Amino acid sequence: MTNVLMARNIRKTYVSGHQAINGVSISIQKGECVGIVGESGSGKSTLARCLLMLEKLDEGEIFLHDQPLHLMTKREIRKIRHRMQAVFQHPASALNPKRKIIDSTMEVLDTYPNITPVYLQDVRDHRELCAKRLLEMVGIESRYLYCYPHELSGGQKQRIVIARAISIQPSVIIFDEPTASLDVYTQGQILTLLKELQEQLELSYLFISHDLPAVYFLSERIFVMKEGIFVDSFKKDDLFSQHRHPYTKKLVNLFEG
Amino acid sequence: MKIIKQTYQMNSQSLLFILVFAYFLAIVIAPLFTPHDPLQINMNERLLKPSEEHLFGTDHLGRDLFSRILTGGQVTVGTGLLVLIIVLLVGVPLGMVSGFIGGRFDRYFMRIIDSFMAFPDFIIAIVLSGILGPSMLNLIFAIVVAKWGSYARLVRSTVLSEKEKDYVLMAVVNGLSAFQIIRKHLLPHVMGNVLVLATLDFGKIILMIASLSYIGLGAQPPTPEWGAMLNESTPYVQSSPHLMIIPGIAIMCTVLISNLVGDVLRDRFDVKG
Repeated sequence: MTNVLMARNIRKTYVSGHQAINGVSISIQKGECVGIVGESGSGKSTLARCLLMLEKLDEGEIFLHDQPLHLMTKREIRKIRHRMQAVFQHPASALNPKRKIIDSTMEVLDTYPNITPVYLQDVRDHRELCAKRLLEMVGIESRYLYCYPHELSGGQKQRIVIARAISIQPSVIIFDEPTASLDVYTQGQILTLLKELQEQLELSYLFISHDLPAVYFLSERIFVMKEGIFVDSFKKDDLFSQHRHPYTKKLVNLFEG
Repeated sequence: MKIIKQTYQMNSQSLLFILVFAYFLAIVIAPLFTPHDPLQINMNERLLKPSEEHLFGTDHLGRDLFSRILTGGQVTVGTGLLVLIIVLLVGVPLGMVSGFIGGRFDRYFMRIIDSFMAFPDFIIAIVLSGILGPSMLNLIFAIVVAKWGSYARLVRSTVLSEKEKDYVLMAVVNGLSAFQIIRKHLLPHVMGNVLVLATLDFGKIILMIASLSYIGLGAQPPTPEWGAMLNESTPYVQSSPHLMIIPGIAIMCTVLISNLVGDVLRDRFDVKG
């Protein structure tokens, strides 16, 4: 198995002195979904931002396909940005309200005109067909192509964001609470869609959420984060084992009760 | 009822834009059709009342006022547009960069703008063109210096709030360069507000040019500039009031049109203030 993304001993302290992440290591293999579960303020989002190189690391190493991101300049990182995509919590603010759906969907493909994903090979030189195919893949009708984001519902917007994330066939997609701002019914639909896409396109996911059932549904390996460190890590099937960390047991009880 | 109201609004708006278009077209092509040479002095025909030959009469040097008004439109409105374009070219990029970079650079930059904005526009323009000496070029420079700050400030505040939003973050993740983010994401957000401010400001700039020319700091004789024409007509207010009234109406029309269009644009772009 090859590591797609590997992070070693990441530390991040904010200017305010708050230590958000205190030595975290994680690796994601090809075609695998790794879940991170933790409460608000446990440093999950900061970890996502660090892995995406949106924050400067205080300490630690990040390798994307054995390329050391922590040693690269911004310009060098930009050349391989397409290998790492992200979906954040608020679909409403992840889409520019002044840009049409087709432009938002095609943003990555427009930025990297020389890269062609396998599933877009036959339509790559036709921008509209490309966008149509992507919307189809996430279950959005193509009549929305020339609409603006405010004409879509929250769930639809999140599907557009997902379409953009898969558009370039990235090595890994980092999800930071992708379902937290959606209603329960839509949450289920989005999770199912993510699972289908992962199996079809053989994507690797890092799925970060406070929602243990959602993480359990998608992930093969689960990390439990608390106060900036991983307190527990295990394979999916071992979630209910007796050897779990007390905090993990507490979380399980929370969702079972 | 609603449909009627909407069509009425649509029509009154399109009417306004047609008027504006016609107005600018008139200003551009009018000097080609002046009945007399606007600079031709004729002492035998000075201070004539409006007649068929001289539609608006003649001034104290016997020059045809109608021709001078038409030519003066190009000087006043043309200078106004030039000032506005330079102000936009200076203010928008500087505000954009300051807001985008943020941090210490932004703080210093804002203090510079604050020090400009601490004085009324008009005082800065008078002092600068007074120091530099009366000429059209200095006038343009003076008004640009007085005006650019408010545009930089407007753009900077919009960029500052927009750049924190997730879609800018996503654009970084999607591999866009800073320049691409500014061009594709931030500029469209800024342009609506800037357009409204610019249209409303255009009238003020015209007034400034006319006022500075009136006190002798802008256009110099014999240039037919509306403000300068007002100045020349001062001694003859009582005997030939049309010399002052007609350039005054020309200035008023321009400012009024600018304000009306600005209001329409403001409603359309839904800008507060």
